[in-house]
Amino acid sequence: MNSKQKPVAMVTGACSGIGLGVTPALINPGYDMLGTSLSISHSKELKVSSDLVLIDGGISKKETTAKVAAAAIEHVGRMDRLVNLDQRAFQLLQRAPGQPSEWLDRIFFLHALKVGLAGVLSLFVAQALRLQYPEWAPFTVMVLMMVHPHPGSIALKSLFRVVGTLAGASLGVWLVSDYVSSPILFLSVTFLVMGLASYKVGQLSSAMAPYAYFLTGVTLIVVESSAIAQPDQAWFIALSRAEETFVGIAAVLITNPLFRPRSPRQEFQQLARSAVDQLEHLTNAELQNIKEGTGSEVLEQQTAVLRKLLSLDSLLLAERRESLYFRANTAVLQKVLNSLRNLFQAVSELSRLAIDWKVLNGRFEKQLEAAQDLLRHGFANVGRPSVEDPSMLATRFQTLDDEINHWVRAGELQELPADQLATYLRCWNAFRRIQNELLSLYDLPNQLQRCEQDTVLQSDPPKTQRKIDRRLVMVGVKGGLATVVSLFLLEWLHLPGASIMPVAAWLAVIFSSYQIPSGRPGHIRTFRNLLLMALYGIVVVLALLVLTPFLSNYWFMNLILFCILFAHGYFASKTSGLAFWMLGTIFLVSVLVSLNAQKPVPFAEIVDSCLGVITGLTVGVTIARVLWPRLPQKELKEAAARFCEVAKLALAENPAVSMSSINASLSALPLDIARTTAVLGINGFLRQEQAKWNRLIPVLMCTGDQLSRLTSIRRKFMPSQELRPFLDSFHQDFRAWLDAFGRFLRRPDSHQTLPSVQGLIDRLKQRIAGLTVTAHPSSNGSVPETLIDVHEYLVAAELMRLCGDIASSLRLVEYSGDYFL
Amino acid sequence: MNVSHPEFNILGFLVPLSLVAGVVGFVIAWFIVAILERFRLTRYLGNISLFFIALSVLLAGLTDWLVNL
Repeated sequence: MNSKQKPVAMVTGACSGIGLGVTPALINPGYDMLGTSLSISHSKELKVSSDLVLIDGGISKKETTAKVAAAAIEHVGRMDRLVNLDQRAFQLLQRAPGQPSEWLDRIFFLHALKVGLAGVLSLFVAQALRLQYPEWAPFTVMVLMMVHPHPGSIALKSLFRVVGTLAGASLGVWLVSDYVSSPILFLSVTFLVMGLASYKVGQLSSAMAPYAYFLTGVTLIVVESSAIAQPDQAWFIALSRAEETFVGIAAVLITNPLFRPRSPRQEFQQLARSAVDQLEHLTNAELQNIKEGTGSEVLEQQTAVLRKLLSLDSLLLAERRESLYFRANTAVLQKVLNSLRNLFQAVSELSRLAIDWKVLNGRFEKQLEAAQDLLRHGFANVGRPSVEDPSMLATRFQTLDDEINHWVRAGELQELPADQLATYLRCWNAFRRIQNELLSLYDLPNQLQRCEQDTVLQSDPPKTQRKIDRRLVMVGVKGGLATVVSLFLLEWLHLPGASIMPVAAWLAVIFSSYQIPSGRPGHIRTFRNLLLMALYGIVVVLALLVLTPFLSNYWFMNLILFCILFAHGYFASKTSGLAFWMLGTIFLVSVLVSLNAQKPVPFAEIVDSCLGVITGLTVGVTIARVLWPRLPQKELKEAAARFCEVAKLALAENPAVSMSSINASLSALPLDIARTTAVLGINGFLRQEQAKWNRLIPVLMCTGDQLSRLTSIRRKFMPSQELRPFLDSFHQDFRAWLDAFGRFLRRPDSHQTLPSVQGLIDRLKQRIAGLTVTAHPSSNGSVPETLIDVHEYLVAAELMRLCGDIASSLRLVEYSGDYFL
Repeated sequence: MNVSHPEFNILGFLVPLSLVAGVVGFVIAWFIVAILERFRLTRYLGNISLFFIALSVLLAGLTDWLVNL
């Protein structure tokens, strides 16, 4: 053994499964082998020979790893290849330190710790100040730490919270003192105020001011529900509520900066690195698909990248909230996100290339292989900046690019058939775009690191939409209605239950109505969740029956509270968006604290408190689900149809609409569609539909990008008398097709079919063939350039055909129905 | 609903008829909607929650009427 000329390979897990197959297979082509497994020396299939050394030991333990390494050095001295098939090794790799999942796990743990500490601290302070209803302080903590887990701009948020609390308390005192004797007026004004608060909460993602409206709503409803039975105490109750809310806010402010504050920028950095890795896998799968046609995992990888892009988008928004008026230094993060998005689009372009390698052999094939090699190096540079100088890679790629341009100008590419020429140029174009994006992402860790210190760059704050949003108005009506109905039930029908009922009803409407943008399924399964919450309430009642005597011990009660808040904070921060169980837990914890177990608690009080929570949630959920329910499948159709509208605008080149805003919408809308697709609720064939949407989304992204490109090409040929009418007719046809596509998505009909784009494709192919034939080396490059430009139209038409094919296979008719109670 | 009907005595707990009828109506309506969902028939319903609530009320009334026959 150990002949220096022969390569050396080591196989872990060699005595069974794939390892048993791989080991002899490597010996035959001339490897010196080193096989390891727990009891490989007893293997009947593998015997020690001059080519094979067997070492007992699994590599999950330190001592056996050392033993294996020592044996390896003694026998072979070096290692050329490692085939790692030991299951425990995979587990070890998954648990390796520095992996993003572990890092995030620590973040979640710390967040949970803060929720627990803030809750206990707020209760302690509220009790020390002898406030009347101390349970509202931990309630405030839980709500505030759930709505946005990142600290954000603490000063601005706190200011809005204080303003909102004071406004809500004042309104509450005014309404209860003056109008409680005239219920119609009282409930009407309450409806209007709560409706406005519900409407404004919907704008929480793009501005800070809605915090004030949120706190106004919460405080108003809390003051009204408590003071309605004793209007003469309204001032005292409002003051007490405001103080309790301030205590909660103060506890959040104190605990948030403790330990290591959750920073969206850091989370963005980790996720961006992980997205680059995922994109590298996707590129490799796409390249393999082009070469061998075996890219079965492409769709899976594309979906994974899309998910990461969505999370990065959310983190960018969270980072913007970190500073006053959303003016955080997010320019670098935005640039990185755009680059990743463009990179994804460019890589997705490779999916639709049908290269015939029999035709495209020789120097063309070599050119593509050389470029693929460079791209692999490029990806390595993104993660590990010291590997290679990016300018070297850029120069090498430029050399290849120049060579192809030379072929184009010299007419040498015309020996290829027109369709293969087009495919070749598209492939090259995609490679060029990937290369450019990789260059802009070069040294990503340092780029992201730099932006932490660089305070010069400023990004514009996102523009808040001024016009009234119909969907938010619907939520406003529902929020107002839920409040009014629950107040009516509480005061005038005397339903059993604590005064927490109206708050539960309002928050049930708010939390369920604004779920879809945060990756939750909207109103799907809300009744089922409510039923589960009711069962959960029964368990809590029984648990409280047993625990109440022990809760009289102050320390025990705080310990229980801390444990519940910790568990709640941990699981809540691992869940995207606001799930229904979080809402239920918040109220049930509030019930636990409000029982004030320092004195004996009657069982009826426990039952009444839990009944109040469940009744409130029932009122909220029923109103939210029955009136204009927000279902992901409907929102998905609308978003896709909106994409068509914007794409039409891009082709129309309307001077009244800025191209930059159109391009921004074209790149953002597919991500909105992806977000909705993930929570789609259709019965029976959900997975198939999701898979189709996952295929369609990258195509839509590429189409949006391609249409923007067509606009600039058309502008370039404006003076040309020959080409302009030709291109204009295509713009018109594309617009007509997009119009039909939008209608098809919005109002699907089982008999409706999309107009075919095959005629357009044929016309374009004819034109391209004509250009190819007439091209001449001395034409100063104008014909090949025109060829490439006209070819861009062909790409757009093919993308549209693909969109149409995938959309036709969707069961859009079924999206009109309502599923999952 | 006939609220004058005497309560049911379940293990010593006196449960009003309207509550029993409500629970029965709710459970049967839930079961019917689950069957409709199982066979993907709810796609013909514009608002499944409204259908469910209406069905619950209807079945509760029917139960109450049947008990009072």
